[in-house]
Amino acid sequence: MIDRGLLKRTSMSLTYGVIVLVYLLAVISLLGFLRPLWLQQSALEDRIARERSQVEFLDQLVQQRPSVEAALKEQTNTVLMYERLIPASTELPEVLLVVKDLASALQAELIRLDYVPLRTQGSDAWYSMSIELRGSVGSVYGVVEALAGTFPTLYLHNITLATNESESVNLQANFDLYVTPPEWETSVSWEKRVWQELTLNLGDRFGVPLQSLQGFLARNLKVIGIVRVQGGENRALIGYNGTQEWKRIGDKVGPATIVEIGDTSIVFDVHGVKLNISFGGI
Amino acid sequence: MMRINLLPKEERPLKQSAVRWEFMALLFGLVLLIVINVYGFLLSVTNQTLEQEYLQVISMKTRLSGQQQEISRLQNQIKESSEQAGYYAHLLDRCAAAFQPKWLASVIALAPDEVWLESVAYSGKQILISGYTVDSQLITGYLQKLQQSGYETQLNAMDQHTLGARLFSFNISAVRSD
Repeated sequence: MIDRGLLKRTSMSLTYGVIVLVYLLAVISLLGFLRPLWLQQSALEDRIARERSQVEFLDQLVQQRPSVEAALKEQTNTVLMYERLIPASTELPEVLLVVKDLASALQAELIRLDYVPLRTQGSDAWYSMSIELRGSVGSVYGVVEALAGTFPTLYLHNITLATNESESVNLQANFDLYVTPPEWETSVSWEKRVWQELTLNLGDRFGVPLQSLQGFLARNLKVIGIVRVQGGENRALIGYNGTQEWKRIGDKVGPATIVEIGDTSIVFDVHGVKLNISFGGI
Repeated sequence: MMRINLLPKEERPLKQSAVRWEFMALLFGLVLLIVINVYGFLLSVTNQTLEQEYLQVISMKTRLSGQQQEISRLQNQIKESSEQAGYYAHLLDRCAAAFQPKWLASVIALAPDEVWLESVAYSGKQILISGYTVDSQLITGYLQKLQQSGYETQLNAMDQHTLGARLFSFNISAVRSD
């Protein structure tokens, strides 16, 4: 005979076991299945939020691209403008040619044009150059002025304009010509600037050297006689450099020109300088 | 007729309206288990969506990073160009501040008539002018003209020569006041 109590206790235990098993499965699902998913979701949301924030930041930066490109274009144009003004170190032959052309165009005689090899210090790169010209004041000065206009990076150290005996002026100048630094690549070539011919009149400001005047007078210059011609030109017998000759107004005596024959004196013009020589000598 | 249940109370069958607590506990447990798993399933679907979204964001970030690198490269070019432009501007200013040939021309042009120049030289920030004239007053006039044109002048020497006519040689140094 089946013990009813035992059967009931067994049935109850089984029921309790199933209940415990169901709750155990619920806890295992909660901890082993749901919790990792929660954590994963939380981590994903964090990562997405972080990445979104970076994307927003990057997006703002990328939005600036048109203005950055515009700024680059402006800067590039500025640099190009300078590169058109300043010759590159490799363009020295063209530079020398321009100097010669300028001297030729302005009718100045180019006596010397020297340069030393490229020198550098920091970003600076330059050729030290020296030039010697001969010609009228306007010509030689015009060459230097045109050079300064053609090469805005020309740094003049010294310049000397000195008169000589042949009615011309010698010009000597030492200068540095700065060029674009060799380590910077240039995308355009230097463009020779168009210079305007000068209208500055410096014509007769320079006279003959004082030593030349002294030399002229030291060659035994004498007014030996003056003949007054009624209704005609006066003439003068001039002794110069061991010879005697009759001279009229406009005649040359050495480097001088007779501009006036008076009663007792003669006025010579030595390249603009008026010398009054009296009868009998100086 | 009256029926009397002689079984002990705990062995008597439940009334039809009564519910066993074990049943309720089991039912609640099962519902809880199902809810957890359904919620877990939904969560895993959500996570998959989030992962896809994350991948999209990463992809966008990669694309934007490429563009940002390009912008950085452009900005570096701007910086480089700016440095170059700054250097060139400074170089031009430096050369413009150096001696200008036009100053020499102005010194020559200021010489009065009958003042003959022998040499005009610029060196070491000063201009040395030497020449001669027939009238010493013209030298004073020349000095005044130079001063009025912005030069500090000094008459270094003046000598008189007699070469048929009287000539006064002079030597002036002039420095720009600005």
